[in-house]
Amino acid sequence: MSATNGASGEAMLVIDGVHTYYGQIHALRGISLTVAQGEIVTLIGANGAGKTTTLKTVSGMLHPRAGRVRFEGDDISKLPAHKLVERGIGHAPEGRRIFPRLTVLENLQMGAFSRRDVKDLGPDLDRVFTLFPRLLERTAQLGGTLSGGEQQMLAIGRALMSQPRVLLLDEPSLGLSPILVQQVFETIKDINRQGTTVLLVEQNALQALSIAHRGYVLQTGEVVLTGSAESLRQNETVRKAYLGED
Amino acid sequence: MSAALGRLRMDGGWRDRLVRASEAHRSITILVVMSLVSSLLVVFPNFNVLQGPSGWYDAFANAGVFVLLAMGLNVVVGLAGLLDLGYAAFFAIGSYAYAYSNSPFSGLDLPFIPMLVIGAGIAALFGIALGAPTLRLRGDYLAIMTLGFGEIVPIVFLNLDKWTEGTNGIGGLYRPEALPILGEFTPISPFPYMIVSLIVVTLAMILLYRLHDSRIGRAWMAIREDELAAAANGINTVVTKLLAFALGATTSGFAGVFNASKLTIVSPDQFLFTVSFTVLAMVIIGGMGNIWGVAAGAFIVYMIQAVFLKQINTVVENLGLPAFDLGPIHVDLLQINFLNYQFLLYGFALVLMMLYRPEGLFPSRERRAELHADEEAGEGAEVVGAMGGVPGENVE
Repeated sequence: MSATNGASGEAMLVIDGVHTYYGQIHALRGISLTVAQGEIVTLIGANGAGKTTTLKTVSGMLHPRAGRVRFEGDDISKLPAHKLVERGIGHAPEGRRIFPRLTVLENLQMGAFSRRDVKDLGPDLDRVFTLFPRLLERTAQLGGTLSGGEQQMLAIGRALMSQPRVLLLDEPSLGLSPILVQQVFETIKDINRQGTTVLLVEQNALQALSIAHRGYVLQTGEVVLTGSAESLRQNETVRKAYLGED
Repeated sequence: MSAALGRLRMDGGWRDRLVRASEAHRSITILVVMSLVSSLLVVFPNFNVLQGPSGWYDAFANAGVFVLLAMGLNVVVGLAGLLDLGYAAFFAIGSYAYAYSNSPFSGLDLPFIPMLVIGAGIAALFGIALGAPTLRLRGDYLAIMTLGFGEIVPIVFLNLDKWTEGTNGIGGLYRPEALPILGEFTPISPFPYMIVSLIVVTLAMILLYRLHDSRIGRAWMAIREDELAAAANGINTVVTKLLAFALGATTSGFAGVFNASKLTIVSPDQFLFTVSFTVLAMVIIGGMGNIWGVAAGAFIVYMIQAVFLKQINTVVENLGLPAFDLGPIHVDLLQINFLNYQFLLYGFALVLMMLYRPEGLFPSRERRAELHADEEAGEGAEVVGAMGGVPGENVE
């Protein structure tokens, strides 16, 4: 796959030696990774490895104390979250975080908040409804009354409404039934095929590696292993630690 | 399925159509409704129910102050979801701003209408000054912080007696200069005050509805629902929250200037916690988040407090209930001085209200949905109608 983007010759998203803290807690200890245009890259690892923290550092919810995050060549480490949405980084945060007392339609409209100039959201809504036909049946329903799977669809759909060039997905399989997990991952593949780069954080390493191009294994705030999804799936350590095989 | 959605939206009788028309032409609707309300308020007191016309006009003018306060607090609490327990502080700042500009104490006599704007502006500055360092706090922590601010402000006015005359307050404020048509503002005829109060409330309502329907309004809604998600959707949460806080302070300052010009005295004990609390109760009783509901709620609560409970002996006499025996107790309502129990009755009303109608008298759609989630399933069609949402319509 082409790991370059434009004249800079650099990948779309570059995380370079990032250290992020929660107060005194040193959560990310010098993480470096890249995501190229058109890829699905997955971060896998145990609880507390720093997967969510990495996504939050990219999306501007947290800021690194050292190191840099570059997006399309620009240093974005110090920009606030709302600026990054405008720049094309979509974030579907952990735990879905839909707006419970707004309808499905209003949730989706809120996703397009950053696009001031757009008058007609029709095509974007159509795209989301094509990916998630279930949401079309529920447009007038309140977000909080949706099932877990529908809420996850809504969270991803909402993030897509900002027309992100890279989509950050945090644990999209959390709390879903196996069939729904399958469906959600299929849809992520579709979204990627339509041209959106995806950075995916997952507990469900097997599923994540089955749709990703490349992966990084995180452990206590550091990258301990990286490679193509296929090579990670074959890797002995990964199989033992994260795929539940012995 | 989308066809079904379309059909549901097309449906709806005259009532739905009226709702949609009023949402499409908010400002005109407000003007029409407020004119109707105003004419009612002008005509009704002439029937001399409970008290004479000037008593009513005076009460209506004061109610206008609380309607303003409630609408302003509703922006902070109801729309943006930030619990503010020190709201009276901004009311105090607006009031003292007027006191300095129009009193023998300062020797100034600035015109009234510009002072309305200036006083509101000063309150807004304090709103920003308080909000900027503290809006990082959420929920209970923010509430306690605002509670502290609400305590500090009257105490500062109390203790800076060189500048504020301390506990006596600044008295003898000049009344607003006479306006065309309305005539003089005098202590005996509260009519001009009532008219000014109605005009200010109408303007504030139009302004607040315009904001509510705008991009900022939607940003407030998102923050109220989930701040982290709002940030993830590209909303600048810091600026948006600050704006809500500043706007609430502005409205409060506005009300403060008007109130000071009417009372002609300001003193620290007018701005105690009870004021913040009463306004918050008005917002909740009216229906948090619903602008006209909060305005109506504030009006009703004020009328109950200031007219009904004060005149309750007369009301009971007029009812003419005969004395009766309740077991061993002889009950003669005419012998009871209800005036002594007015706060007890007010408290009872609050408790009953929260038990039986926690969403308030005129709840916003979101609030009703939250407290009656079980009934929501069958109301899908109504929600669509109320929202009038065509995909993509709400984006500017």
